Amino acid sequence: MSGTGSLLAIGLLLAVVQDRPTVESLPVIDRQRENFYHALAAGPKGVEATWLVTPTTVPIDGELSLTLIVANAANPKELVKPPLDKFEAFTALFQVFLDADAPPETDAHEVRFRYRLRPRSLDVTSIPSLKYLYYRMEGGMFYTTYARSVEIKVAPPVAKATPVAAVVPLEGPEEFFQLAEDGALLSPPTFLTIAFPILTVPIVVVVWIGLWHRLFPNAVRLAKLRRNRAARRALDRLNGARSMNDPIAITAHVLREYLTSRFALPSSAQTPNEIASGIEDSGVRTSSFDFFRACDAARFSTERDTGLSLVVRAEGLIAEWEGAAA
Amino acid sequence: MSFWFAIQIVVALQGNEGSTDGSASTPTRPRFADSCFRDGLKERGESADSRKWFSIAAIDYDNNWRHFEKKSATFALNRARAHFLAGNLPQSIRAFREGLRLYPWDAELQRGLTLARTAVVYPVETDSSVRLRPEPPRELRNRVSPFDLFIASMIASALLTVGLARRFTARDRWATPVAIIGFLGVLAVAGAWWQCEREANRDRERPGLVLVADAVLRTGNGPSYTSRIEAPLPRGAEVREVGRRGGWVQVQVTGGAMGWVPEDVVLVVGQ
Repeated sequence: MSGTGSLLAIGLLLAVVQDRPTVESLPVIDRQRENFYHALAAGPKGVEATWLVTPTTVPIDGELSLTLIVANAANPKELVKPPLDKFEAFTALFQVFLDADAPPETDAHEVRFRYRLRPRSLDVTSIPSLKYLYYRMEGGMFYTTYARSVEIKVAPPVAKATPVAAVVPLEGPEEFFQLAEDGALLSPPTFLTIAFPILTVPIVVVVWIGLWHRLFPNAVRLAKLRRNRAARRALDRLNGARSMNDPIAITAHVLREYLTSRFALPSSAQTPNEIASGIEDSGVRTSSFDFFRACDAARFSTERDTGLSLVVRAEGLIAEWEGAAA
Repeated sequence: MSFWFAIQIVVALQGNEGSTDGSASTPTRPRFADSCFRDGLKERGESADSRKWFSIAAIDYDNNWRHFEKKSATFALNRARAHFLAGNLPQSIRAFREGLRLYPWDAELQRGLTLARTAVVYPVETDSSVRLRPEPPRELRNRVSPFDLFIASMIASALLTVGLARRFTARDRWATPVAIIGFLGVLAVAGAWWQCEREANRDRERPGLVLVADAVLRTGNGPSYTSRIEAPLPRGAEVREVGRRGGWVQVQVTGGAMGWVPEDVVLVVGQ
C-alpha cells in the first residue's frame, strides 16, 4: 500500500517538473534576442525588473551597490545576469564591477543580480534604465519591461584627513639641549704673555739687588763677611742661637771658637781676661773683654736675660773684627 | 610656516651683522642663531619642527664661524650642538673638532665630541690596524690650557726671582734650592708650550676629515680598486688626510691603515 503511494507521488512530482517551462523549449534564434536574459513568464503575472541602489548619494571616489531584482520569472535558475559592463549606457557613466551572486532556488519568487558602480564624474545623476525582455509561454510572445532609472547624487570627494605624523620628541644627549652662555670672554694668553714673567726675571733680580744694597748697607757688609768661612760659620750659628734654650752660653762659645780659628786664640784662654790678652797678642784691638764679661754677668746673674742683645752684639763684634782683619 | 622658515633661512645665509640689533659693531656671538637655538629648545617635543629651528641655527652659526674673528669655546659648543640636534652628525663632529683646534683644553668641547662620536655606527673591529674608532682627546694640549701655563710661568718666575735675588743679596741657605726649583719650573713651562705647539702643528700638517656618508675605503683612487677593509667607513667616521689625486683623498684611519675615499664624501676640519 505504502509502496504504491510513493510511486504515485514521484510520478506526480516528475509531471510537475516536466511541466515547469524552460528556455530550452525556445528556438535558438529567440534565445539570442537582444535584451532577453532567458526570463519566462507563466501565469497572469508578467516578469518585473527593478533597480535597488545603495546608497543613492555617493562620493566621486566612492562606489555604490546596484542590484537588479527580477521577479515573477518562471525559470529563476535559468536567468542570465545582464552584462552591464558591456553596455555603453553604463560604462560611459560608471566603472562597472560584476559581483558574484548566490544561485537562486528553483521556485524563487525573485532573482537578484549584484553590481558595484563607481561614477566617472560629478555629472552623473541617475542609474540608466534597463530594457528587459521576457517570454510569455501562454501567448508565445516576447514582452518588454524596464528596470526604471533611479536618481542618484554624486558628491565631491570627501577631504581625507591628512595623516598626522606621530609627535616624536627630539632625542639627543641631555646636555646638548642647553644653549651655552659665555662666561668671562678672556682671550687665551699668547706665547709672549706666558713668556713675559720669565723675561722679567733678570730685570727684577737686578733691581732687587740694587735696592737691597741701597736700603740695607749693614746687611751688605754682613753678607760680605759670610764669604769668610769662619765668619760665615759663626754668623750662621749665632743666627741659630736665637732660638736655643741658652743663647748666652752658645753665643760665648761660638765667639770663642771664631776667635780661635780666625785669630789663633789659644784654646786654653777661657776667662775674659785670657781671651782679651790672647787677642791683643795677635795685634787686633778689640772690645772682647767687655763682651765676655757681659756674657758671664748675664749667665750667672739672678735676673734672667734673654741674651738676644748679646747675640746681636756678637754679630757686631765679628763684623768689627773682620773689618780690622781686612 | 614654511614661508617663515624660508625667510629665516635667507636671513641666516645673509649673515646677521646688524640684522638683529642694527648695530654696525661686530657682536661677540651670533644672536640670531642663539635665538633659533632657543626656539628649537621650545619645540623639542616635536622633533620635525625642532630640527628645522636647529638647522637654521646651525646655518647661521656656520656662517658666523667663517666670518667672525672673535670666536669662543661657547660659540663652538653651541654650533656643534645645533648641528647635532639638526641631525647633521658629521657637521657636528667637525664643529666640535674645529672648536677643539682653537680651544683644545675646553672640557665641554671634549665631552661633546665624545658624545657625538658615540652616535657614529662603527663596524666591529677585528684587526687593530684597521681600527676606525678615533682616540679620545688625550694630548697634552687637551689637558693644559694657556691659562695654566701662564699661572705656572708666574709662579716659576717668582720662585726664580726670589731665589736668585736672595742668593745674591742675603745669601740665605734656601735661596739656591728655590732658584733651582723656579728654573726647573720655567723649563717645564717652556717644554709644555713646545709640546702643545708641536701637537697643533701636527694637526695642521695632516688635517682631519669627517665622512658625510658611508664610503668604501679603497686601495686606489678609483671605484675599480678593491676595498681596503671589508666594512665601509660609516657616516661621521674621522680620518686623517694624507694626499689628494683625481677627485680622491688618500686617508689614514685611526689604526694606521691607509686607503682612498672620494673627495665629495669628506668634510675638512678647519676649512
